[in-house]
Amino acid sequence: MELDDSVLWARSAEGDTGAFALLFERHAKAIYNYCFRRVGDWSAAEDLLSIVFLEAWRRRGKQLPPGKVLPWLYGIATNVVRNRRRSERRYRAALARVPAAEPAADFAEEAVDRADDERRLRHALHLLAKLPRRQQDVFVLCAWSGLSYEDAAFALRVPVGTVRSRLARARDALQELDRLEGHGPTEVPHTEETAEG
Amino acid sequence: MSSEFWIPPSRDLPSGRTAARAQHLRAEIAQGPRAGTGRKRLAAAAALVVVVAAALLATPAFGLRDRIVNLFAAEQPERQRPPQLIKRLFENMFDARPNESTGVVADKARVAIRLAIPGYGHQTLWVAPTRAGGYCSNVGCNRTRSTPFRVQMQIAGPTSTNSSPQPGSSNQHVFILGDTSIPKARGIAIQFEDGSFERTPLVWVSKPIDAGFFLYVLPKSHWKPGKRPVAVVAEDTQGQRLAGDAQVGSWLRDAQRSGLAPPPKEFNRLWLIVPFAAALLAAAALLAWRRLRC
Repeated sequence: MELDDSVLWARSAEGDTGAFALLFERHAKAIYNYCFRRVGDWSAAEDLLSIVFLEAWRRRGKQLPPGKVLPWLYGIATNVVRNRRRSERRYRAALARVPAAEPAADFAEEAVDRADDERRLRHALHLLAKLPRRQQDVFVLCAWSGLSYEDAAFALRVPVGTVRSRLARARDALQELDRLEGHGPTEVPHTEETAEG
Repeated sequence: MSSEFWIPPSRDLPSGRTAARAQHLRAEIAQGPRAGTGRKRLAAAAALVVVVAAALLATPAFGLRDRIVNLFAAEQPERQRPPQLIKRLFENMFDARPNESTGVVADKARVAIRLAIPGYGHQTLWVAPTRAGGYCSNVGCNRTRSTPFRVQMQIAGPTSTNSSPQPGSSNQHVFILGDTSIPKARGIAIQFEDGSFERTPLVWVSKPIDAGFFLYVLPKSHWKPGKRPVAVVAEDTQGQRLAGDAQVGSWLRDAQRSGLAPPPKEFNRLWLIVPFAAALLAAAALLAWRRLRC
């Protein structure tokens, strides 16, 4: 039987490293992709993923409501990305101990795809960077990572209404920016409040 | 959908990296927090700050110590029964006019300002009302408020208010104190020979005294010629001059002529030449000796 996040988090809070490792394995992909969507670099996203979980371990005494472990991790990731230099400096020694990646035999095709992701994301981040930072956070969490308004509000520690309004403003601004840059009408990803996190 | 706003694809970590990162995470959290370089740097920076602060405070030439003492030592005026000694002090005061009593109500004496000065004790400015509607203080009596602004300078010895300062000793304290009954007065500025000035607060004592009092510890950096006080000025809230007293400069100069409050000795920069010259001589001697050996 698979243990709930809240149970694993409670065990982690008591110092159970195994429970915390399970949480890592469960949410590593989501946080890894979120970090990539913020920095546009798969390799950096991998390091940021480690930092997010090391930071989460450091704050393991935090009481979390049921079902909010992942949104909370998104919140940590948002802060880690925002203070990237400081975070990397803090965990520089730990990151230096990460085992080196072994070359994979059939990695070439995926490497091309990943390089393409980075190239396309650079364009998107270029536009996104013109938005206020708070709108960027909401947009990436809700529109790209699929968090519900409520979870995004929990991650960012703001009211749900604020998330809604920021997302609406971000969408409008992005469409306008995209139009001004000559790409025609933009279909900004639409997010339902019930979107799965 | 525009090419700019497609939803970036969700990808797994490269093959084997999830396991490697998980293993790394386990290893990191299992060994607990390490003493990071950040903490070491922070500790080193804190130690450096402490050393620099101590050096600045310990160096009299900077005059910081006096300022910091002033900053933290000012205490709120307190209401307490005046000690017998203070009552006697007030009762024995005389009015400027001969054979006329001050009419001081010594029982109602109270503390206007009290400063704690390390290595000295407390310097307290006592005030008491007079029956004629005026007041008396350590500065003297202003029985009928005929003098709107009064300034006095006191030089005290090393350990107590009662000990006499030893001429030539640097372990002395110079106080500039006084009072004003000008209702608009809100602060006191002490002006110095070099054109700079410092402000000291005016503590307003309520009725029946209804006057402002000040007590300023003159930093040793202002005992030096060229930096000594030249005037004490009462100011309003806008910093406008309401009244002034220029006698303070001559008082300090006179006191210094008699050996009190001696100016701090300047560090003679010529002494810096000595080690330099010694090193130069040693180098020349070494060179000469080598040549002789060859």
